[in-house]
Amino acid sequence: MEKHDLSFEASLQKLEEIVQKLEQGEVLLEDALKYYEDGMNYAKICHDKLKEADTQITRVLQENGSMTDFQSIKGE
Amino acid sequence: MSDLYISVATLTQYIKRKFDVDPYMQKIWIKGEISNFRPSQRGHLYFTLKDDKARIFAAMFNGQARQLDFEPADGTKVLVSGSVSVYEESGRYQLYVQEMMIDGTGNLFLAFQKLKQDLEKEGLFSDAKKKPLPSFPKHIAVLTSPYGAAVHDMVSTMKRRYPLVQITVIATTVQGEGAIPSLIRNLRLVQNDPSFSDVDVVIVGRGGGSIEELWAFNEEEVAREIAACSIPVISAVGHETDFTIADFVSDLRAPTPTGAAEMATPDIVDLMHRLHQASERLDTAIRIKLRGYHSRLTYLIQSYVLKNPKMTYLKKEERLDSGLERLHMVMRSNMQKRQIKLQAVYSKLPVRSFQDQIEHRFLEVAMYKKQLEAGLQYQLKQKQNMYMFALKQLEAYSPIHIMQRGFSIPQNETGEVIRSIDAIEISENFTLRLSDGQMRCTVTDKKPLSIH
Repeated sequence: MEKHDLSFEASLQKLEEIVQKLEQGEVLLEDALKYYEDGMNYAKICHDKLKEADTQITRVLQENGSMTDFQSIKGE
Repeated sequence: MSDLYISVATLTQYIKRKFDVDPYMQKIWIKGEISNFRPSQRGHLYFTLKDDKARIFAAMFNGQARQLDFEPADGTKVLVSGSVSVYEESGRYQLYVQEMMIDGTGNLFLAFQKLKQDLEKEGLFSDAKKKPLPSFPKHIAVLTSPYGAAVHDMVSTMKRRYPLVQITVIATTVQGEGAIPSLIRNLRLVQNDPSFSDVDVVIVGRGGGSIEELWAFNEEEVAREIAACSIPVISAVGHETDFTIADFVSDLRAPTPTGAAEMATPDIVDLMHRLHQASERLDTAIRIKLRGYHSRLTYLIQSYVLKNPKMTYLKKEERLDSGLERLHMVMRSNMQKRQIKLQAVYSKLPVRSFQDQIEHRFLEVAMYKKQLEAGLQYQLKQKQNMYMFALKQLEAYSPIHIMQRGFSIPQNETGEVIRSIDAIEISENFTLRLSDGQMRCTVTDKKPLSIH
């Protein structure tokens, strides 16, 4: 699904928008099913984003300009 | 004459006004030594503030006096802030003390108060200037020393709360020599360096240490740099009750480094909850929707029209009927109207000549008809005569006519005329036609005709 490059924030927002649309107002059945499918996709994106996030590495920009991994620096 | 003289009270009020409208008298910082210290029963403090050249009466009311963290006494060197006004009853000007501290901390406190005052007047602390933090930060830059427990707490707190965020710790000298240029350089780096273009929150933190070690955060240069920062800044410099100027100019002030981490990031537990709720609402919504459609469908299936489909077109037929009827009626009335109109038009036409013409045509038609009839009669007569003549001829040639003269026609069983004796066998039957009837005969003998 090409929507995967959406941010977590955008996906969550989309999901909530869709929920609102579904909850209120007259939606055609076909549209409702489409919304539902989209909503499930966005929920999945959110889940995936949260899962894959664990790989994010915290870096340190040292004063000499070099970039190092934060984990390599031990707290005192 | 007595109009020239004013009362003492009036004069004193006038002098008091002079003090009260002077902005310089409203907030001043003074240093001096306490003498003649006299606390009152109700907790107000009265004393004289002096140095080697001058003295001023001072009063500190119990509200402010309760905030003091030291016991004032004669001879204590103090830093004081407050206002100057006139106490009318004793006819002397005096200092109304707001804040007072022991003059041991050098000029730092005064400088702090002064800078705070100035920047506040300039509007650098105003709520309108505070930038909102993003609800979902992408990249948080932490300007602090990369060493020490505080930064580790901060990073792990943010990672735990919101694993999606990217964090870069930008090693910054935050205390002692070099803190000011380091802070300013890195604040600018975060705003301008392309590799930090996605940074949407900056946390400025200290690595620990006493308030005296953090004087860089009370420097005007640093304060202005923070205030001007285009990215929202969270200050995690002060500690619980200690405030620095940086705390006031930043967009959000955190009481502790961990507090800053919490302010900067949404909690994943909340997000999961929100996500879960949204998913559940999505399910419920679609289920309600489908149930709604289902019941509508059921209702429709049981509806009168679908149960009695004939009724739909019977009604239409009725409508067609009545429609046709109306159409005819309208047509008729229309025709009538038109006829009336036509007659009206006729009546206006030059009637005579028109009628003459019609009569003339009628006569013509009658004449042609007569001619036609005469022609037809003649033709008929002719054909009759021809017919009679032909009939007579025919009679003359008729076989019956011939048979009357004594001839007869033999015919075999199939009705064929027997023209030769070879066409029939002995004892075979045949029919013989005569002019007045026929008879059945049997061949008893055959004899060919002998020609001599």
